[in-house]
Amino acid sequence: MTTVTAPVTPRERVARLAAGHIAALQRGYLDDQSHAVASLARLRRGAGREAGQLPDLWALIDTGPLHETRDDARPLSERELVRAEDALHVALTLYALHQQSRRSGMHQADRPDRRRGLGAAVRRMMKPGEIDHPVHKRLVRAGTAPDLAVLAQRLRDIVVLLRREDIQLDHALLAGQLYTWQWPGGADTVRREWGRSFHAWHDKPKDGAAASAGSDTTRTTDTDKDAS
Amino acid sequence: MPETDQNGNSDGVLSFDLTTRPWIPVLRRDGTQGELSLREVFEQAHDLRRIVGDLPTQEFALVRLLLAVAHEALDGPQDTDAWSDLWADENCFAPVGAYLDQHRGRFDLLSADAPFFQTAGLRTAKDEVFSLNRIVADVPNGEPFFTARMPTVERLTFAEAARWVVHAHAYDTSGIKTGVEGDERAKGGKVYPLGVGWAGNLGGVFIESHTLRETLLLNLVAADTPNLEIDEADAPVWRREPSGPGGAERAPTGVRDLYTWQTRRLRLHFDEMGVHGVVLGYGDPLTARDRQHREPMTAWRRSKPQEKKLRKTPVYLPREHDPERSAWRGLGALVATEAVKAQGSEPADYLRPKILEWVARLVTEGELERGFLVRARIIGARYGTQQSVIDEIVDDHVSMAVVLLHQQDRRYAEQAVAAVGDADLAVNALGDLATNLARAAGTETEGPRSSARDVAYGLLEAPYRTWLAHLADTDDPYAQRTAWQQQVYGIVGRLGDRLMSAAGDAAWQGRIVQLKHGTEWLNSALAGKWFRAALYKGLGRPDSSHMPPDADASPAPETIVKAPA
Repeated sequence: MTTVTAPVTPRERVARLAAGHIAALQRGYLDDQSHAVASLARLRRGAGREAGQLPDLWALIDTGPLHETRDDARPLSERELVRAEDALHVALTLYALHQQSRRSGMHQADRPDRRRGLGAAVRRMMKPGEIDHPVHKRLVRAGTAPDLAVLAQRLRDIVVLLRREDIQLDHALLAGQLYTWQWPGGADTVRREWGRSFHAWHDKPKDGAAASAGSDTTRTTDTDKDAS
Repeated sequence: MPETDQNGNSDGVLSFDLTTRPWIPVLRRDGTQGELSLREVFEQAHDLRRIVGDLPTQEFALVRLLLAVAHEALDGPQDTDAWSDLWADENCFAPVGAYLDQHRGRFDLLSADAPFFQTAGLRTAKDEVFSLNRIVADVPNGEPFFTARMPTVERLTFAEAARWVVHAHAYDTSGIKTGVEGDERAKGGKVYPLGVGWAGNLGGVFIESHTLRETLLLNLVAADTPNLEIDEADAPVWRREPSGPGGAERAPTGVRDLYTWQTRRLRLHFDEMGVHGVVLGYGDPLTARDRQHREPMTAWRRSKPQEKKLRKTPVYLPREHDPERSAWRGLGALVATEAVKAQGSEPADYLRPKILEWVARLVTEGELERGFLVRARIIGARYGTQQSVIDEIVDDHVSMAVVLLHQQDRRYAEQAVAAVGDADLAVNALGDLATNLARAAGTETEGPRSSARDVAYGLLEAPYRTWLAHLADTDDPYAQRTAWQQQVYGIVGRLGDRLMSAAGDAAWQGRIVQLKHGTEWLNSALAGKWFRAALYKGLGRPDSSHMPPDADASPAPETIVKAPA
């Protein structure tokens, strides 16, 4: 999905940085390395809160690479840096909460044949063909959060449920989305990604027109009426 | 004939000879406008772009009048060979001058004995003379504010009056009219409605080309045109007895008769300065039903109600134009052949205009080059309340290469028609999206649906017309069609993105709906997914360059997830 030639967008830089951090933490935690376990414990406490509220976590999240000027990307502006750091903070703390006392890696990359986006993860908490209203409502509420602090709080509630159900999530993808979220119009973009992810979950691979099975009953296809 | 003054002859009697006095408004090839006499129109036809009317319907009526003159003066054409000689001959209209000289007595607008398109001495019992509003169609009845001629038409020049006289026979409204003396149909001084002027029944279609000369020739159907009946004795009104008051339905004899059909009886009141009043009554009414073998300038449709009522099959009525629908969307009815439409023994639902059959024949027989560009010009009036007012006038055109009309090589026409189908499909998908977004937001669905469809058709129109005009540039109509599908995908896809963004929070929140296979969360994301799937299914996946940046998550078959057990 990433094109090699195009310059790396700030969103991609955020997502990659998150992926690197989380992979290291996840490896360390599953290996029971005390440093990683301790880091996760501290990060967990920040879950659902804004970065500024917890200065002691700043040292745990190395945002240095964001400040480096790379060959394939332009330097980030001050505003981009702030949003990138906030997104990283929220994503990493949510991951830490998600991973707590789980013996397998709760962060898994989203792939076309194995959807791990937020919408898909929420959907996997429901029975096939049914919508669990309270769970569904949490995703809807996350989608309409007015600001990042509220969004972080609502995502925290979802992650708690995911941990309980042992359902994985692509936290790096989420980090990128959290970055995009903070820009004008970004919330809409992210919401649509979550929505598509939610609805992509139940598609059957062999049936190319899987969507139409559902749409039959809801669409009123016009037969274009003639003027007669 | 020597003239002593502007509008009279040597006896001081007023005269306005339409064969020599300017009265037909034209647009020249250099872009200037002017007024010409009948004779001049034919002399200069190669240098004129087209007739311009005070209204589009007037142009249609005048073109038909010119065609009647041409059929007469050129005596035919009898067949395509004769037509082809005319097409090749730059001076093909030369005989018109002599012909007009021969009949000029019937082309005097002010003649006391046989005024052009009028009835001498026509009067009502009380000798009333009516306002010219009755024949000037740009003064809507009862709506005097919607015209430049506030509040009434006091006077017309002779030239202008002549145009409205021609127009009145073609497009006059129906309704109760004052009974004229000598009309047996009058009851209590009134004649009850007998229908609109003949052309008012039609969804008018004619072929337009680069010059008026070509336009007139292309619409000059040969006498041997299949399924078009033109009697030997077919004659225009000026070769018939001058009409008296009243009238009766009779069978038309052919195109010359129909192009100059006298649906009204009228008489202008005038003085040296111009025309100041009119007497107007009903003339020869003509029912439009089953005239497909006589009237070439309209498409026809089957009428099930009429078939039921008359207990016969099929019954055809003229296919009128829908003002809400742009011409390109009706292209199918214009270019599809009857053979394609008719399945088995069932009569065709639509018949395309004979005027197009005629041009199709010219292409098929090689008289016209395949890339030759023509415009199907579409003009029609839609009448309102009791047919007593003109509500709307349709004036549109579709440019296309004549190869589209080719009777054997159907590939181009099929792709052109299918391309309209592509547009319809995409617009339907967009309409569904609008409906589903509204449903997700819990709001009323019809408004958003129809406005989304309107916008989409509006945005597709110009690209389609451009595409169609260039369809014959290539040897591969199928490749052109694919390119068109990609264009539609791009245009309508972007509209869909905009709709989804505009739908906002409410549509994102959505609602839980019951579908066949279970419960589903209908929100903007799902509506968008269905939309993309419908576009993909109908139009194929476009080039990646046409894809919006976030479309990678849409449900393409190869990336669909296996549901966990």
